[in-house]
Amino acid sequence: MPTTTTQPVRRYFRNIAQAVGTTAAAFTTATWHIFTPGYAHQYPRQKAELPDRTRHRLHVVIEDCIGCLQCERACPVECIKINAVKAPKSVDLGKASSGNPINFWLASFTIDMAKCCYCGLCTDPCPTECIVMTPNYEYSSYEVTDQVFQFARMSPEEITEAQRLVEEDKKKQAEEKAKKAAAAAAAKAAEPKAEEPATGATAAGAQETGESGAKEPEGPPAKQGEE
Amino acid sequence: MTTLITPWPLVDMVIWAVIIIVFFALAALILTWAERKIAGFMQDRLGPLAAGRYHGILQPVADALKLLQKEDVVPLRANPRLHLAAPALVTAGAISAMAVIPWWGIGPAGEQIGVVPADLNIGIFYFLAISSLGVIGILMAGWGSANKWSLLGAMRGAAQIVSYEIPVGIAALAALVYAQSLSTVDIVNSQAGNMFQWTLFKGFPFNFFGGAIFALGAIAEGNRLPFDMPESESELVAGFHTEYSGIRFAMFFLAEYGNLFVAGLIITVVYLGGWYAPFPFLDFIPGVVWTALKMTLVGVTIIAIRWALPRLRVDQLMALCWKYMIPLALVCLFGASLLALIDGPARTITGVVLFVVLIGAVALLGREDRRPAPAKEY
Repeated sequence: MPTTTTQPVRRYFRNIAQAVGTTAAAFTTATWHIFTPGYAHQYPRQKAELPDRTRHRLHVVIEDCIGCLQCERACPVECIKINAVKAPKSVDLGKASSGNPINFWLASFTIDMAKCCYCGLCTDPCPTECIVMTPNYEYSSYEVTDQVFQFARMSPEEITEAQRLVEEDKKKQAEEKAKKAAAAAAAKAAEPKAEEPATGATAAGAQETGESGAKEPEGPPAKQGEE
Repeated sequence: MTTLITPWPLVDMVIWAVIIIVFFALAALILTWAERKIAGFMQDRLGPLAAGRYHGILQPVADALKLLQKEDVVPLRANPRLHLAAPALVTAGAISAMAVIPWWGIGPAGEQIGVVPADLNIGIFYFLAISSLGVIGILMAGWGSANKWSLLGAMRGAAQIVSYEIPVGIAALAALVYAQSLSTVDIVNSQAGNMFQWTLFKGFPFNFFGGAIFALGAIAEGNRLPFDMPESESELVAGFHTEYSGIRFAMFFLAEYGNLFVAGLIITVVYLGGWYAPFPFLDFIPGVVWTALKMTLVGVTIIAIRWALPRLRVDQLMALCWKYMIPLALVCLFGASLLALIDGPARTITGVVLFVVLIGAVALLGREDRRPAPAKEY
């Protein structure tokens, strides 16, 4: 609580002194900056040096992609869209540079960079390290649809060719199945109780180890200890 | 005083008018560039760099071309006559004020040179009158735009400019006491000699503070920050020129920077010794250069003030004018008039003593009241 009041005249001149003082301080502070160097980068001419492993535009080395969809599943914003079609075993699609066999046709592989949040989570699970974040940040466009980058696309001819191969394979498999079924039926007819004693022997062990035990009836006894 | 270029005075008038208009436009262009560069430097940027080879030197030309190409829109409900005439009037007011600015009246040897567009015997009076012509233009722009922001800006601008006429006029009177003439050429002539003969240092310290008041008032009349009431971007979109585009906006822009130029010139003429060098040994530099140099110095300071200080509130603006600047201008006029009666070095001594006595009286008047404050009732 103030015990004294300030006289109006005194307040008046104190106001003037304060105004002059603060104005002068602000003016000198701001004017001094005329003589200090600026901090702004002259961007198109002078580019900032980016640190290692900066994450900008995504790139896919499509020859190495095995179509495993792990990047698509890892993406938190669903900007990666892969349409992978399993190729029949008879078709040889070669190997990725890391040695993994390629088993899928990539009907399309698109990344919408407008949606991308640059988290880099897609690059981690990739088994062949074909999806990478590049340091290229200059890819603005006039249309937002131009931000969707296409890395793989099958031509109509390729699609019909693939469909033909799949159909062929299906036919072949159906034939084989029929053949197998016929063979099995024939075998069954020949000796109906061939495998029964083997499964019956480990029935008690299978009950204890549960599902995995049921699948592998001859599994090692250590599994029981784990559970 | 004015030297005739041709034997025919009428032709002379036209030539001077053309020179002034071209020079005015050129100065405004250069000042826009300077403003942007200084603003950039003060904010640790570099300002325009792309247009032109050196530091965006052609930026104002590019800006002007852009503005000229834009569509000139008149709002549907606007009063077309007022809306279209306003920018011309504002610009005309700023340009006309340049007529009485003496660039170089008298050479170092006392010979007449006469780079003076018009040596009126009521020069400074004419200047103060014509430079407030812009208020009418601002009011017309605000009223004719049929826009609430424009109208508010115009009303504020009118109140501000009319108010700031008063301290500017009184401070100018305090300076005129020493010139004993209204002619701008005579005002500069009375400041011949070294820099301590300038009005700023005459009747010290009263005219010194008078000069500060005059400069502040000149900034306020030119609608520049920190007295940017008519435009006030943060509150009124763009104030009185919200509805303007294209060449008419360019004319407002021209007038704004022209006003800055004219303010620098008139402060130079009245307070900073016009075409005279600060020291006699610098007399070999032409007077026109000195006028331009001093104008540049004042102009750059005004620009720096704009980028250093925040804008005042409307009530603060009015309080500054009516409660502070007008009384202080009156004190300056009183002190300067009193000191004009004394000649020689005794004048400065008396002035300082008088000033100290005044301050002392104020301090005594305003000494702290030691009585306990009355209990507040809420």
